[in-house]
Amino acid sequence: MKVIELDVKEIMEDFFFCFTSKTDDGNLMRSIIESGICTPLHVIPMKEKYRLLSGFKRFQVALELGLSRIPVTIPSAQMTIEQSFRNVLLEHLTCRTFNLIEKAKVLRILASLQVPNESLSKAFLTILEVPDQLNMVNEIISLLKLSQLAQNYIEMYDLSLKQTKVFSKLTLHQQDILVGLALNLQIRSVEFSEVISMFFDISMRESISLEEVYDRLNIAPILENQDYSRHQKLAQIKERLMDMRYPQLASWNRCLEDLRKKMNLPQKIKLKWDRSLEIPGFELQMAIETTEDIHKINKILWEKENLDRFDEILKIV
Amino acid sequence: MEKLFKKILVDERVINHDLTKKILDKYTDISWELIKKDHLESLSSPSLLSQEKRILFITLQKGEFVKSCPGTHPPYLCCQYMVINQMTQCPIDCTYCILQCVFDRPFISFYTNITDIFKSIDCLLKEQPKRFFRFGTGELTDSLVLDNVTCISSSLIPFFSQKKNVLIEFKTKTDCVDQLLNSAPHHVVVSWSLNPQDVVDTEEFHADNVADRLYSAKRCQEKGFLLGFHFDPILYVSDWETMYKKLIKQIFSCIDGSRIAWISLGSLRFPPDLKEIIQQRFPRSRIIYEEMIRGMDGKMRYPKPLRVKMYQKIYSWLKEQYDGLFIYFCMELPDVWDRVMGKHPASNEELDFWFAQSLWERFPELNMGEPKRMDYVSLT
Repeated sequence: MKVIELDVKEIMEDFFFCFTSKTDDGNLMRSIIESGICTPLHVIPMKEKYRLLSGFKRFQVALELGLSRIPVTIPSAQMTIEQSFRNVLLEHLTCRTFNLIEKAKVLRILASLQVPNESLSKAFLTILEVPDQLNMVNEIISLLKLSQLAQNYIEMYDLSLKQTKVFSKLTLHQQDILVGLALNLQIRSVEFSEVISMFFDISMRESISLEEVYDRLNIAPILENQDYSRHQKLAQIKERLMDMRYPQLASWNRCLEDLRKKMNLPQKIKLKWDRSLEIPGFELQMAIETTEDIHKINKILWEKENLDRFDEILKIV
Repeated sequence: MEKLFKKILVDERVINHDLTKKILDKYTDISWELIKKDHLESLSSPSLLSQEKRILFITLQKGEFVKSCPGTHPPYLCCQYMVINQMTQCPIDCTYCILQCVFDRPFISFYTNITDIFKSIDCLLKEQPKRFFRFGTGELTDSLVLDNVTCISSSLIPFFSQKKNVLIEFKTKTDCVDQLLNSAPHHVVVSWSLNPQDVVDTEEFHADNVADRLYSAKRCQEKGFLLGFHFDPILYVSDWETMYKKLIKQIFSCIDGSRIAWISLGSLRFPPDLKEIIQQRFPRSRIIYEEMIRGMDGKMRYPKPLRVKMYQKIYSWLKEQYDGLFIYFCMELPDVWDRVMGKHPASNEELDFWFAQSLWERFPELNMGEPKRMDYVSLT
């Protein structure tokens, strides 16, 4: 394959074959200013012009810099578009793997090209590491129907297909709200799935929209509070969410917390219980350093008020 | 019951069995297909669950027919019940049904080699001759849903009637007792899983309504059968108190409490994977969105204080109706027993013994010897 130079005007501004996501092209621009376009773009002839197969970012930078001629390679006439596109993919895959959204875009391109199923599975699915199942292919392509923010999130955290399932229950607007929250607080996929599930479960149980759940949680003041760290914000939001998802459990646990506080136990005594309240009873952990400690602890435990409180605790746990 | 099947598949090995002929004779309006032995494997291909329950597969049980109830793991207590799997998968298709994540075969299987059941049971009785065994056919299916077609009760009851230390329980959500009523009532418990009618309407679509179930129960009682009732799964739904109280009154308005062998209580519980299946298959069901925690056996359940609250109420309403009822929990914690009943069996074996003792004390017609605790040992 020969490298030739083409006039920029001969290349169509067409993004049909583009499957990579937009990134900050500052470095690329600097490199092109200093050294020009070192790696030729791939193009195929089309309607007396040329259509880009790869090199979309370099092409954009070239346009912005006002370059008039660009190095390109043109596949031989014997090579089909499918084969040429496959070569482009292989070139990409030598240096990195594709995320799910990129795979979805590639599969959509192949669907538009009406690549037959046999050729799809033999020539493409293997290199893309996509199982040879039509429903799986369609499922991946359908990710492109998710909101742009959700797609960005999938790319950013390199979600698996299974992890993307949580989005399928949400409208585009709901995806944006929740992904916005996840991006704001840098919530990773597993944790984010749990958060979405909780939102969804609350909305189903209460028969209210997910947006209403979001409003009722009153998250905005937490997000806007400059004094909180990201972790603190996340912890507070999760606590509110847990309270709303498990209102009775939360109230029993709060009751137990109150009783513990009222007991005024010294730091050396830790009173613990299973927060799901399934394991019967509670644990008392005591650090004993002196015989004096034993007397103190003994006194506290046998105080009438504390015995009553233990009784109260045992009624719940 | 509405028409349950759209197709029947017959394993060539059972084509000459009497039970096969009987079923095909009754389902003359449904097409059937003979399946060659070599093609049996291909039947396992997965298909939609809603489809699979409309195909009846008449075949041979090659695995174990009689097993201990899988129950659940300690510290939850189980009763050492024995299950007979003469049929697997259930056409009633309740939203909460655990079978949805148990079976991957695309049909309801009915096994015709029931003489193998008798062999297994004889073997078991020989091993532990002093123990009283409770067997049931309603673990992996509804015991009576096809009884008017398969007449399985007529095959099983005569066998159990001659035995000394056994009972067979037919557990159902239907009113299909016509066939069963032709049999003698000895050593048989006919039991109904019950939920308030509002719950039946939303979660048990293909089950018969409560009034019909209770009318059938009354007919069985009049014929001399012992009865059982299973409040399982108890569901935490809005207005549950009113609904369950009404249901209990409804039961005792037509049923004599002294002839009830046992009543079980068990709240909704399921493996976590079932949640997604219910979401997909029954998007209108709301039961999975209630507060649930992961229990020590890995199953999702209501938080313990909530379970206790529900059990306490239901238990007290039942006892108000008839104080002599034998009530037990299915898969519950010892401290839940304590909080509701003020006692708990020390082990699964002891619970098994409690059953025997209660039956021996209350139903002399069972001709049991006095049960001894030492005869009740672990089955595993």
